[in-house]
Amino acid sequence: MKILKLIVVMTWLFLSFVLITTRGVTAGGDKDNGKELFKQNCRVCHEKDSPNGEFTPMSLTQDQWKAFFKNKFEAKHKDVILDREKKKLLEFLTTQQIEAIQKFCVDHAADSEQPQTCSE
Amino acid sequence: MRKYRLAAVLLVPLLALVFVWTRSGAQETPKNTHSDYYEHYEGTKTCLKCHEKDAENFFHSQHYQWRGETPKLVNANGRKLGKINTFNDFCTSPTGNWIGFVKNSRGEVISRGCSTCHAGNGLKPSETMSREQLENIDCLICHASGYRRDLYQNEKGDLLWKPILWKNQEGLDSVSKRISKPTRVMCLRCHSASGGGPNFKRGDIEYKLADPDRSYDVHMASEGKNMQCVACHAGENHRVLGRGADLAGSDTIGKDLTCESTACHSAPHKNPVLNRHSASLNCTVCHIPRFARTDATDMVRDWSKPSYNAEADKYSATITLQKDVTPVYAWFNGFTKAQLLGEPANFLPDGSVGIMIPQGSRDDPKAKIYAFKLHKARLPLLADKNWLIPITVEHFFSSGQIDPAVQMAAKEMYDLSTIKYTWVETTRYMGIFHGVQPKEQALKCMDCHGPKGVMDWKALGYKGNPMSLKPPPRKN
Repeated sequence: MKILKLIVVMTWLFLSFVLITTRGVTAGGDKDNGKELFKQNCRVCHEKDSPNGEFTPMSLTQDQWKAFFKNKFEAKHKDVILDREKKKLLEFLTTQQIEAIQKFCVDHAADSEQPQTCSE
Repeated sequence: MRKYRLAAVLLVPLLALVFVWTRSGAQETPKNTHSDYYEHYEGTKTCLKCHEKDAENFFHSQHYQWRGETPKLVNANGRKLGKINTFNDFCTSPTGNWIGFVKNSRGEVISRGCSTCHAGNGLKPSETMSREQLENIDCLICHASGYRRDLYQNEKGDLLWKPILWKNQEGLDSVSKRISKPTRVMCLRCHSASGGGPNFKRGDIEYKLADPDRSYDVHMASEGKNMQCVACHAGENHRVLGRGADLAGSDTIGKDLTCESTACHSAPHKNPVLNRHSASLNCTVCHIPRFARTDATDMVRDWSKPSYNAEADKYSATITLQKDVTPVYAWFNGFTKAQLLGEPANFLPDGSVGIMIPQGSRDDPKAKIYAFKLHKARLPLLADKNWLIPITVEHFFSSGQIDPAVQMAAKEMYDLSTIKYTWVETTRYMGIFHGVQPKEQALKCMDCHGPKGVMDWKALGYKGNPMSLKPPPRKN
């Protein structure tokens, strides 16, 4: 009977995991305004004709943004210093703020329902 | 007993798991159905390698031509008509408003023209098929989930609609391979946005239909039948079945779309009294008792009174929006009388010009009572000739100057300069067919036959409420 209970508990845990992942529920991110954060921290280096490349949320697809934040964001920005803060970008942006920027990019990516540049 | 308990504790989580998988399917990520067919998307010519014949069929369709055969217009005299060569009482006409950047005083783009919602890459549709025209078809706008486009000017100065991912080949390749039949979301992007705002034009085609609940629409409810638009508007060879009461052209000659013709609802009620009513009433009368339930719709558009929206820094006509509207009811036998360009105005008894008027009466055996949105407008009327004049709205949106916009339209449409005109009220009947509600929300007997019933019996050709008069039954 103990094994049976274990199976049931494991099944429910698995179900909870499935529910959370399939519904796209993410912790944090919503409290900060991703659009404002993008404007303040991203656009300054990624405007039109910038040597760093122009990037707005609609420059990439949702999958590309997710892959970028997962695999490349930190590596690409580890040495970036924002003049305004006189600090490294990754030192003053909190995890929650980065999540908010990611959410803004994904929600308004090129293949989202409402593609946006951050100036709209 | 222990066996049953064992079965129950195992079964419940498993059933829940099945439920979760099924539910997530309603919002599943689009599949890359075309991954194996090509590496890089290089515009429409990539599609044409396999779909040349489909493109030729689509070229002749109403969705591309914006005109078509007119067997349902009583005064078309065999002409091919549609929005490309007629006019309407919303943004009036694509002539002079086809494509372009219209900017406000802040330099922001406030309009890109009617071609925003044409399934082409920017060229106006020609009646003659050519390679250039076939490659102008934008297949992805109706078939690729996540495809978005914008207007760009090329080096020659030509304006073209291009994917917003045109600089991101990897992203564009990904999106271009997510091919499916058109989904509700794809259709709604144009059919709900027409007229200048959400649900402004049609009234019964709201963005809500992308993900409605059953109380909003029994057919398209995401957690119900979840039917796509193309389930009913099926057709063949890219010719879409179904014609609204106020459309000039028909895409499927000889085939009508009705609730009965789909073989879904041949004898829909258990109550014979209700089935008898269906001899005189279209289903929509009882089952769509209200429209514009989420987004207010444009009921009156007065082009004689410019209105300025400070937030958008844009001018428009004075538009009266209304939400949760009760339809008007009129007889309709499937035929419509249209007010056409360059023809004397067809004045109705109320003094307005009838732009699209459903035909039929109580004495017409082929007519039934249908639900309509009654749209009123004020448009310019050319002196002496009594021709209605459209408006070059792209000029007007930024300037707010209505007279030059009328003069420009008269020049473009009739080749007339410095015209004299007056303003006249117009009337358009627009069939209400979407947002079919469950039977619990349908009209009941007293909703029509009670003292405050929704029917204008005299306007429908009765002496009064048929229930209280007890007239002889209709002969047909």
